[in-house]
Amino acid sequence: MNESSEALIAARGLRKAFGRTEALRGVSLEVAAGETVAVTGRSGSGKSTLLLCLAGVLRPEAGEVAYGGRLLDTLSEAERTRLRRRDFGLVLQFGQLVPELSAADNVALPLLLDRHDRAASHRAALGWLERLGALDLADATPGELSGGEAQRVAVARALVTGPKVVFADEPTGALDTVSGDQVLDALLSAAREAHASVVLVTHDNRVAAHADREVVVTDGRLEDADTFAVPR
Amino acid sequence: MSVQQVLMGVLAEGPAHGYDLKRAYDDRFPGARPLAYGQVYTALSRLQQDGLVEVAETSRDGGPERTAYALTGEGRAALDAWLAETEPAGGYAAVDLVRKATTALRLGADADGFLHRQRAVHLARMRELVQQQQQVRDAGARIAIDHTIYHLDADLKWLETAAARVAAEGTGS
Repeated sequence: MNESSEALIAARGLRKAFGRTEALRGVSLEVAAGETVAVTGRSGSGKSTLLLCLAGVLRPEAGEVAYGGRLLDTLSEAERTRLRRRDFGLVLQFGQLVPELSAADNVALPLLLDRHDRAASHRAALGWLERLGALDLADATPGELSGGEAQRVAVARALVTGPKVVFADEPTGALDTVSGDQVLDALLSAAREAHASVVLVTHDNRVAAHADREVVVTDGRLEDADTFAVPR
Repeated sequence: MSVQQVLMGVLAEGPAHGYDLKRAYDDRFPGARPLAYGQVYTALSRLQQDGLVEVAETSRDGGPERTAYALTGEGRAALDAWLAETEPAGGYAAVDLVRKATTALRLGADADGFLHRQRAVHLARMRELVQQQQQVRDAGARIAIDHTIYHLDADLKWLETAAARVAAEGTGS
């Protein structure tokens, strides 16, 4: 991994198929520490598959993903789980909160699963809710929250472990523009302060414009949007 | 051109000098090209001719003569009427993009290359605007930037669709 000594995540030659559909057809991508990279492309282009491979949720059929210089493939399942729980945060389009738990307990969940002290986990959860302007939602259950409120809680849950990388798949896709902007601002400013990297999958040019860099997935392959500026 | 009406809107809040009018305009539309002084004075003389604006005061504090302008009653009525009426849909200058791409396709020139380069230019501009918007707290300035961003986004969608069509269908010749 000599070339990628500065990259926090380095993926090379990723291939992944679902049945006869090739979602990824040889994708290589590096993400530096603290960098926000937008992954854009049409629906079905393979951008969500790429995100899930980078996050170690899906295993590619070919190619490799290194995190901090270590190949995910060489880790045991327990190590991968620990990595996903401690170093990675995940935000999906519809929050995916546990409906039976309060917002605060939802946020505390990754810490509780990682066997942290209950009171300390709860305090950390409240701290994150406050930072995201959602402290007044602490006792509400997901059913009582609007889409924008639920996404704030989901962002707090993704950040509560102090992750090095936040993977976000259409985090504002189900929200109106104003709540979407608020959630995105909250996510990106919190990540920036923590010097965490963000991989942001979106089909929305406005959302992509918040990133430091944009890459475009077309039919399972990557084209670098910034290279478009070079006359062809 | 609605510059006149915007300046009338500034004057509706109280008399102002030409310089103040330019500053107020530029502050209100941070996403747009700054207004030239020439445009301000052309608009003011036109508004004066039409009786919509009048000179409120001329002063000279040792320096050059400074004129403050004020909105007339007629001007206020005209402003209110403009505010109440809708604008035609469209008329956005993005038509230049369409003209260029269509001409390129007709001539067998590199339309695809143009579309991709143009997309990069649009994306870069959108990124600038998003950054600008994050630093602005005033709702008026934010919605002015929103307007520019959404027009850019419409152009971007068109550029992406056009590139996909050119790739799928070729030049059609």
